[in-house]
Amino acid sequence: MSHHMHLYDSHNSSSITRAVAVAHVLVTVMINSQILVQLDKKISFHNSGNNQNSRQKMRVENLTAGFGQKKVLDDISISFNENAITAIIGPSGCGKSTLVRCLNRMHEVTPSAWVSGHVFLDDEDIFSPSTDPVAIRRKIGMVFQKPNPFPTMSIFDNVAAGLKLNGVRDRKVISSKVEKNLKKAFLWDEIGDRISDSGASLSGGQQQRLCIARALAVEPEVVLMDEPCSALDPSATAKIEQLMRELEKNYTVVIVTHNMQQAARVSDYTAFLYLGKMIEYGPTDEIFQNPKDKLTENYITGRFG
Amino acid sequence: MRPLDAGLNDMSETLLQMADLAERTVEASLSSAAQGGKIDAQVRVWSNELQGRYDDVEEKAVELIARYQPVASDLRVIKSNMKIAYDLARLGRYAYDIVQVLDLIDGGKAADRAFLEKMSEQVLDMMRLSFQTLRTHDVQVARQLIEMDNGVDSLYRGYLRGLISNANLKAAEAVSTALVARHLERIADHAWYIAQSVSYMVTGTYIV
Repeated sequence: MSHHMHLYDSHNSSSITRAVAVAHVLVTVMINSQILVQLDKKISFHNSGNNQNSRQKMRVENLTAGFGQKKVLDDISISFNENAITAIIGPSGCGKSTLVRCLNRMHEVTPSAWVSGHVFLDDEDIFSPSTDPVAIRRKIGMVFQKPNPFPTMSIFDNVAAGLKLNGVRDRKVISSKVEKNLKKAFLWDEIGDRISDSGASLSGGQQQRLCIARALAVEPEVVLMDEPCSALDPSATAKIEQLMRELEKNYTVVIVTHNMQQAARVSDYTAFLYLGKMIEYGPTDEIFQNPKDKLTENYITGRFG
Repeated sequence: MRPLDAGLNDMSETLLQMADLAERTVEASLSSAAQGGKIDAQVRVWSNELQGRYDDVEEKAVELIARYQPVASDLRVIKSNMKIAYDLARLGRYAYDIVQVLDLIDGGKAADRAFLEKMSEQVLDMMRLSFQTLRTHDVQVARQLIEMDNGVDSLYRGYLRGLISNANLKAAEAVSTALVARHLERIADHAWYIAQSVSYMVTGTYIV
């Protein structure tokens, strides 16, 4: 927690640090640290555009994690392929959110959180002492369950926030990147003519796409989505799912979902977690047509969980 | 019990009833053939009934998919049930085709009865074993069908080859026997398909 607060303080205005609601501060800290980008680091934008590519982008090895006395993840090993969507499913409390939060070192911002094992981004161990968690969160973006645009900022500023923190000053560059990322998030056609309105004025589904545009603006390589559609209606959900399919062409996407049909619809690979253990992992069509494990079968057919 | 289970149970019950009816239909058709082609109007009625029940199963399957978005074994059961219901309807249809051929050509008197009886026996054995697999879901039993199907195929091909070399054969005998043998061979194939679908339903893979 402490070093994140430190980074946060050093980069941002003191007004926000006075925020009182602890939970709110936590979320805000995470979002901001996610878009803080070190000036001296060259941004590498991954763009292979090859859906058939099955190269491993991230690799989790023997990951065990928890809070205080409680173990939430138990010896998880899994890989996430590049240009693919991997869905993590499982009943409430099985550890799926904790798993994705370990992937960009957000787990550790919660007091009492602990972790052991390894998570590799390409060949870099993201838990190694020499790894900068802020740089990791820039490369591995996150979209949350509840759309959380910066409420006092305009649509434009929401997307530009990360760029400005990045030191980009050229307004033309910022404008063009904001437009580009609003287009990527399928939002430009709907709200391109009112980007100076408040982000909070958008519908829930538009706000979530704004958050995706904001996450994409800092040019991540991996996009994590934790229940991104659970607060959205079916048509907004359909748009986000269509967007995920687009994102897959250029990013590695990992999505946590309670909605098994969503996992079946959008993902290429599915992992089933139960009581902190990885029960089964495989191509989505195999998991949903012919799972190997009885537990997986019973969960996805609605017999428990 | 999940709401989906009631629908799946209904479908399975319908399939077993269809299998009983298909067995009666094929048996009636073949006994009609053995008796020299006495037309059995019942075969036509049963064949139509099988087709109607296949339509019901298909409708039920689509309804269950739309309502419950089934996955895993549930989805495999539905897919397999649709295929099996189709196979059972085909059995009825071939049974009816057989009595039609016999009726059309010399009232069935011209057909090579000894050959057709021999082939019928093997085909009926296959069909019964296939239905046993459907009732018990015993996939190991289904493996015996591979050998049996090969036997039916070679009988059928052997007869066709014999036709060419036998110059003395009358057209009525050749055509009626060959057509009935062709329908029998198709019945054997569908019996095998049913066992394959049961295998897929139970294990997720087809028998190879």
